[in-house]
Amino acid sequence: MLRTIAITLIIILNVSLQSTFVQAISIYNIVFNLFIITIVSFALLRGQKEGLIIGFALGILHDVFFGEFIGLYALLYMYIGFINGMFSKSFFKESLFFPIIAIALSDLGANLIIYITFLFRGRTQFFLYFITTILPEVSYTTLVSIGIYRFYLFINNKLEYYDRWKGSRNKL
Amino acid sequence: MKNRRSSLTLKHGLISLTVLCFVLMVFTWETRDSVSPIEKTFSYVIIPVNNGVNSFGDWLVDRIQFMKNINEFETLNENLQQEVEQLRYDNIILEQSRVELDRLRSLYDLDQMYADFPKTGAQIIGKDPGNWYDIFVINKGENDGLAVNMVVLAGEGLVGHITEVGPNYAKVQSIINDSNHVSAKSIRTSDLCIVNGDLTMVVSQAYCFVDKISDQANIIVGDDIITSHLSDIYPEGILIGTITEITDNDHKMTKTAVLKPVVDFMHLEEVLVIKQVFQLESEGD
Repeated sequence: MLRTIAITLIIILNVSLQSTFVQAISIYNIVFNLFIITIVSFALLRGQKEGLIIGFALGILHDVFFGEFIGLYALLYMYIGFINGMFSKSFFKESLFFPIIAIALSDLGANLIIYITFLFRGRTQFFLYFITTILPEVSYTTLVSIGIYRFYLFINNKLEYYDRWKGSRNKL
Repeated sequence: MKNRRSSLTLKHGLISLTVLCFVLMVFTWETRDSVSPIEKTFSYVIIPVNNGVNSFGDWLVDRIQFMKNINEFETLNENLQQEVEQLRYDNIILEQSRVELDRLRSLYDLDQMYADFPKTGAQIIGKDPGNWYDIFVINKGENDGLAVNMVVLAGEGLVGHITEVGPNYAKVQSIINDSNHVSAKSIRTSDLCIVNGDLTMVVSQAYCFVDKISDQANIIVGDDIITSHLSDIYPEGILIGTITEITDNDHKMTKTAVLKPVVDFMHLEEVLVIKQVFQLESEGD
């Protein structure tokens, strides 16, 4: 229950902060992608199911408020959550290395797929887009994710602690 | 056993959501003029939070600035007094220029352009989360009388048009958005051209790319570009920007150019919406 409330709050805050606060601290008009960080973090910490749900929720909100049509980001983020969730059992939660690499690769992959929608309109200068948009975003996101992943780890630990406490109380 | 079952349902969930996404994409690919009830529900949760975050941010910045500058206020006040005197004098000169401008505008037959239409101010409360599109959300919507395809201005120049209206918010696609095209013309020679948003130019300077200028067109660097009479969303005569660079493409028989918009898209906070739809009855972009 507490977990559901916490995740809902995190999703709402993500959508709001990404379109306001994050835009305010953009560097040369490039913003980092808070959604990817959230989705990958929770997918890695909690597994495929939670990754899929959070990915779909954030994606559909992105589509509703900012997308040109509904479904693209929902699909993209859902699969990012699902795929990252596969690795949730195969690394130490406290080590930063693997999550950071996963976030960087996910952001890169997401951007490459969004670029494909640009290809439909005949924007073929891939290298230019790569230099001006994709590379700065991936770098910025990776840098920021170090702090934010730690924050999510902290929240997740608290929630797991609460779940265990509740479970042991129910047993008595 | 339990593990296997849960992974099976997870896969079913993934597949059904994938199908749902594709169905949504197909249905919303062409137009998204009408906002579904589900989207409205979302907006009632997200938009107030956005408003709150925005006003809290403004308040915080105000406080910090106040604390920072409290010592400088006295000298600042003196300087400002002097500036006021200077500005009063400048204002008289500008007033005279304005009269002249009005006269020249009427000569250009642009005087009934957009000054007379009812306008409403709105605040930007959210920008597109990613780096690929320049779409933003303003804090007024259906309840304030806004509708799809209304024109959005800031100060003197064109910002874009409304693509979607919710009860308390509206989505604005700006002219620097990569998929946006505006039919335009040079104010001096009336040569037609198309102003395209171009992401590769937007990232660093928020410039636009001008295409389809006729080979014979007499456009030079410094020309002002306004919306043309061919556009079916925008009324004629809204200032877009200034040409800063022209390139000849011999093999294409057209010229291309770079345009610097008059609106500062990097620091846009408030916009004006013209509360009148100019679009023609017939469909088509």
